[in-house]
Amino acid sequence: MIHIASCKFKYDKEIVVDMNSLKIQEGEHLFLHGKSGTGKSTFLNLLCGVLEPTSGEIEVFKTKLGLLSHAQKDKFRADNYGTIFQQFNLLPYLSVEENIALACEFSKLKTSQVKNIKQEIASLLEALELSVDLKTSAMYLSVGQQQRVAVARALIGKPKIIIADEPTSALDSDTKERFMQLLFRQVEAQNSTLIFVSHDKSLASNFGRVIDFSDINKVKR
Amino acid sequence: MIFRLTYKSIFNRKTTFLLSVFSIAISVFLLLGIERMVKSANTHFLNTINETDMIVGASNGSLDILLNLIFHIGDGLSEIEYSSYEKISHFDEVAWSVPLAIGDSFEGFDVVSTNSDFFKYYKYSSKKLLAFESGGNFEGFYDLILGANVAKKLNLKLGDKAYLSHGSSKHIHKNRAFKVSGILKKSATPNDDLVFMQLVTDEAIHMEWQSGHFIDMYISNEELSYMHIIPKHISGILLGLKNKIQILGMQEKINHDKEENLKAVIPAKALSKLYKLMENFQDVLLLISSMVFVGAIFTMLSSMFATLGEKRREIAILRSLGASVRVIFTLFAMESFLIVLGGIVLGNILLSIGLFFANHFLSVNYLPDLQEVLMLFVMIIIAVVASIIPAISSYQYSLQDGLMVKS
Repeated sequence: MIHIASCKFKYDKEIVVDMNSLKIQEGEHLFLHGKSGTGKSTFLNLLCGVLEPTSGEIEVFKTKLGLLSHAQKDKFRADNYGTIFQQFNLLPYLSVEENIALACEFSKLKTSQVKNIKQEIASLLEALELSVDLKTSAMYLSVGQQQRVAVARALIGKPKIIIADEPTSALDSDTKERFMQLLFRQVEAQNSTLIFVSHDKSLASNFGRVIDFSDINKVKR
Repeated sequence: MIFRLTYKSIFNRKTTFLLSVFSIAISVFLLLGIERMVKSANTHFLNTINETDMIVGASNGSLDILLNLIFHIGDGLSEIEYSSYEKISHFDEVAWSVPLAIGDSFEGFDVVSTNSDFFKYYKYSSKKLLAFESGGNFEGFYDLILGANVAKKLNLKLGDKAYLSHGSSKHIHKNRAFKVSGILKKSATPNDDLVFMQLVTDEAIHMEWQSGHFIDMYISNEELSYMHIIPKHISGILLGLKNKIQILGMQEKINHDKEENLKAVIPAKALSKLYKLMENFQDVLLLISSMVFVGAIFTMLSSMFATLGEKRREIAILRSLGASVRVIFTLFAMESFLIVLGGIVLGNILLSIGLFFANHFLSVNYLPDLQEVLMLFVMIIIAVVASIIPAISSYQYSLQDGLMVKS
């Protein structure tokens, strides 16, 4: 369970995020809706331990992030999270395979979850219906292909939490739908908790829980 | 993997990377090149003459005497009466003495008039005599002995004929054909560029010269060789003493000669004076090349800063995957390490090529010595430490950006 308790974050003396309490159950699929500039990204950064809350506490699977050192937080993030962003998810000069394998590079836990990394990557890509040569440089992929590689990287090693920040906004509507189906199938298959952030309400229908970010963040702009 | 990441990231920006490598390479080339030239010049200078206890000349400057008589740089010395030479050479303390007369030239090379003793007593480097590549010491009246470079440049072989000119003028002693009787081995001393003839011969052919004008008074070679010729003037004397303890006393005696204004120079002292003069110059050279290196480091840093924007995304991705601060700093350190390493390798290659050509006239070592290796090591450390600066900026960006760069 993820528990965010009355968390505040100040940036340049200005409070950006101020939220009461939010609990996310393990295996839950949460759709977080909100317009841009409402502090969603800050919230995700807090959740991943990249930013520290000015006050309040975030507990992720019984680990209080505030008690971890920087290095421990980095390790915790490497072990337990998989993240997908709007775009620029991949290192352009690395191959598809290397980009995906990068997730295991910083996490022993993820590495231990994968028996044969090559096979695992191949089967993930197959499941995500992406047929490209593993050696292809990421810069030669289309945006849609890149996003699927990003999903594969987020999923590899079966992290407990998958965070997706507007992953479909660069995709056209047909690809978008297929992308969502594939994402859901895989997240369910490995029983991860999904926190999906988007301004696009039409995507919300598949989710078990939908929250409007402006309802939980007391800071209004 | 981190190494692979660095390598691939660099390969992605190969132009800026190569430019940085080149600028480091040039500074390595300069630093090591100057360092090595200086070292070889030093040993060169210090080894040019040894075992000679004293050099006597008619000048007030000891460096002047050393430079003119031994290094053959400078604008000549006043003449010494030959009688002074005879007097000094008969002093009890003197073990050996060699007269030297300079001023003539042959095809642009300086001519030294002396006698066969020069090749018996002049020693250089580790107490070595000048060795002959072919032929040997003076025998005939018209014998010429050539330094290694002279023989090579003028393409003269043993037994070849040669004609000398007077002073630096174009007049040639047409009727006096010299014969190459000896060619010296390369010694990496000024002797490589000298032509030697006998003092008596020099005097004889100058009997035909009166106050610099050629008088057509022909003396046959045969006649000359039978005449008892005593030279009138010389330029200097090399002295070896029986006992080193007598050096200072002997110096006093010569310096206070009543008949002529002479100066006795102790070569080791004069050389160290010269060395000190050069040292300042060397320090300046090394300072300049160090500045070039600092400049190269700035080039490297500015190229790193220029790619920081591009890197921002990469770092954000790595951070989201759980890469620690240490990883980010390692990436930067590794990049600058590779730049400097590349620069050092390239700089050494350039230097070896440069030295290959320079070694025609200087004998410089190809391999770096311990001090130079240490210098290169310090360069690596400076570069790696310098990479902390862009790494800190990058880390600060990553704190600002969080997981996602807002573009």
